[in-house]
Amino acid sequence: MFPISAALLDAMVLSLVSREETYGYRITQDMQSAAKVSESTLYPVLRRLQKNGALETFDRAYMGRNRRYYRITALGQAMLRQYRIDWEEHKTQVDHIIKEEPENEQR
Amino acid sequence: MNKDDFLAQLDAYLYTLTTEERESAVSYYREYLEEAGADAYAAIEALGSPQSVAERIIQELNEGRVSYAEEMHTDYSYISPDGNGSSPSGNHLGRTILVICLTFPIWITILSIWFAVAVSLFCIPLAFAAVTIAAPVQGIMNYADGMPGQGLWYIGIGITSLGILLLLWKLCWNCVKYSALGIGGLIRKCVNLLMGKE
Repeated sequence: MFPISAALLDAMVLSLVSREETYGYRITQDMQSAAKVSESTLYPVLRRLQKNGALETFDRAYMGRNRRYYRITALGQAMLRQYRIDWEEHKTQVDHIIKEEPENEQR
Repeated sequence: MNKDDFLAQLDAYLYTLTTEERESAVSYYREYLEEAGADAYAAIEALGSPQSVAERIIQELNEGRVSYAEEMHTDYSYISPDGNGSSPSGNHLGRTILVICLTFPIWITILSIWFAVAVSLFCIPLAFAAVTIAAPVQGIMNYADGMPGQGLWYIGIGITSLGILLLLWKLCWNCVKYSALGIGGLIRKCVNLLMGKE
């Protein structure tokens, strides 16, 4: 319902990869369980994060073929920490307006 | 469309990218469709046409970021059964860049030829200008050396050259100017045609 911005998408991908080493198909599946993102969205994001040095890849054999896994780097971890701070701030600001009763003001 | 067709078409649509980028993208989608296994056909349907997948990759590489807001309204109806349907309207700038990239072999040829002709056209008046200056100088030097006949002949050549220069200058300039305008218009027309606008 609410569009996923490029920054949020980066944050979500970084967060997924930070939990465990994972691969393209699975990232796509996991993302789709949470948000409506089209299947062709993930590759460019992964590629960009990889080129920026936030993610690194390594290959592992699986059932006689190759699977390219993604792993978060130290830079990626730092980016993710900042994204989490920004996301909390964003969430609070939106909640402040959208919630029926303000949380911090008791009437 | 099966997996191999999809990957072959994707590879073809990515031909403007470097070999490294192309191989990276194609191997990602090969792995992706292998992971989908029995659901590969459904996965291909969901991905959309190879052209739109390629556009997305190229757009990201060219512009940094794609507008993800747009995809919330993604309409899959453009996917024809054979997967050759045209892409969604998408980002106008992105499509323009894509069209410019894909038509690179055509326009670079036209521009090269035009550039060569323009340079040649500039060289003709330039040669006459050189003669217009050099010949009278030679003529005056001949007078000084006591060869008035030869001097007169050189000055004559200078004046003739000046006349030809004045005639040719405007002609050459107009050729260059109007051919540039013509090529510009032609490119605009081609882009509009490819973008499906009149």
